[in-house]
Amino acid sequence: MENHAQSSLPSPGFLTNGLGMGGIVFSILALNVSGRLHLGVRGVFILAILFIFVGFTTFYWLSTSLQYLAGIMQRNLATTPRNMTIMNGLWPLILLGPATSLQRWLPLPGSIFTLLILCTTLATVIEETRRIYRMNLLQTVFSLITTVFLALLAAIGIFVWPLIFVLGIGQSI
Amino acid sequence: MRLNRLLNLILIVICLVAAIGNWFVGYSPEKNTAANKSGNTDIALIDIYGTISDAPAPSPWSGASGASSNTLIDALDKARKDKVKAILLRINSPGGSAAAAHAVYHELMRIRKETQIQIIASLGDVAASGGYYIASAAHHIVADPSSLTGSIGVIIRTQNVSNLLGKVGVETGAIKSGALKDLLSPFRATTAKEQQLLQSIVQDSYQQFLEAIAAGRQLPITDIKPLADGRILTGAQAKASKLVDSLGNYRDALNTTATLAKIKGEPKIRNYTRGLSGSLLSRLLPNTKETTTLEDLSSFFANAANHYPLPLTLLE
Repeated sequence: MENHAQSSLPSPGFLTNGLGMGGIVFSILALNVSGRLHLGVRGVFILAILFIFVGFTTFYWLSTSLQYLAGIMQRNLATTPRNMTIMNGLWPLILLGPATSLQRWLPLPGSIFTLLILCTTLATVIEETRRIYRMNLLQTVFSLITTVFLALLAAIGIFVWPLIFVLGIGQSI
Repeated sequence: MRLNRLLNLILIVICLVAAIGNWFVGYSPEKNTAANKSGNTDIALIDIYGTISDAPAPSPWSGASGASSNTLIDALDKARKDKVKAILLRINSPGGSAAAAHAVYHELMRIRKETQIQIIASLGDVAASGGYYIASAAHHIVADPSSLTGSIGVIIRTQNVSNLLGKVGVETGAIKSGALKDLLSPFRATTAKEQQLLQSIVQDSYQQFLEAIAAGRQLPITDIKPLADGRILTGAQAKASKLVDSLGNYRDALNTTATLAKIKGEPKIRNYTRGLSGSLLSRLLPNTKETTTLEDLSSFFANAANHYPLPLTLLE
């Protein structure tokens, strides 16, 4: 949403904006989901806390991984934490509030609007990442895909690793 | 720059308002099938699922997992105030405490006596003991042919773990103000006097149960008593024994309700108990267990001591 200048490191204000934007996005998504699940006030409250907690944790983890990858690609490991500022790129998701409303009354335009929002979000996240880590488009896309792929592998690993461990012990215990 | 910030803020506010609207529209739980305005409701749907108890009203973090008599009475009162034409009880319960079942039964009989509201009970997997106690207050009972019902009777469980404790060298004692103060103590055998007292309590409660069914079903006690030895019956057997009026599923019960309440067209239904049981977390999670099986019925009685740790609880 901000017209960022092509500066070097993002200022603390950008980090605050990123966190604020994340909070708004997760709150809007929690409200949308609560409506779909017919939840009451308490439901919204719990869901918003859950979304914010899980959303921020996951985003932090993924963006840290992305930062590491970006550092490798630039042969200059970044030391300043600036990963959470990528959250600024999520700003189109706040439009999912009106998009969901639109879907209720006009399903087809609503769905197209939602699709546009998702595509725009992808574009803004790529742009934000590219701007923050000063990479070219190819490097950015490669970094993002690799991050997601590695995260999926890690998720599988969480389930497989204990299995390997248990089977690896054999019958010694 | 300032204008830019202002526009951003306006956009965020619009999006938040839209999201709140999305939640608010979805918040009306009976959006498609029920009346949105309480005064417009034809049929009040009351779910009686799980063990019936005198549990307190649910809080955000805790709540009775079964059917709380307090919640049910509140729901019935609300339905009555909304001037509904009929109340449809959807029962799937193995029973519960005598007092809780009687409290709900009593409220239903009051509605039956003081208003023109038709009360219909639809029996699910199990409507035994206290579940049937409540159902008997209905004008009409619909059961599935394979529903399990009956189990008319009262039970107080006793335990004596003194031999076990003796083996591990534990001695227990009690200092009491009266001879019967430690009634049902699991640390000694029940005395003859206690046995007599407990039997009289069970008999009295059983008699109340019988009279309640007789009043609700408008049957002589002599007709009910042969079936009231604690046996369970299928819906078909219960129909033959006049414990239920007709056989069918929930849809049939709904049609019967509409007919008895003389509702023309599609009835407007509102669930008065939705989201009123269990903790908030269990209410948030979809597909939480809301059915009762025969195994539940047997385990209910087997685990009664854990469910009801009070010194004396009558189970129906």
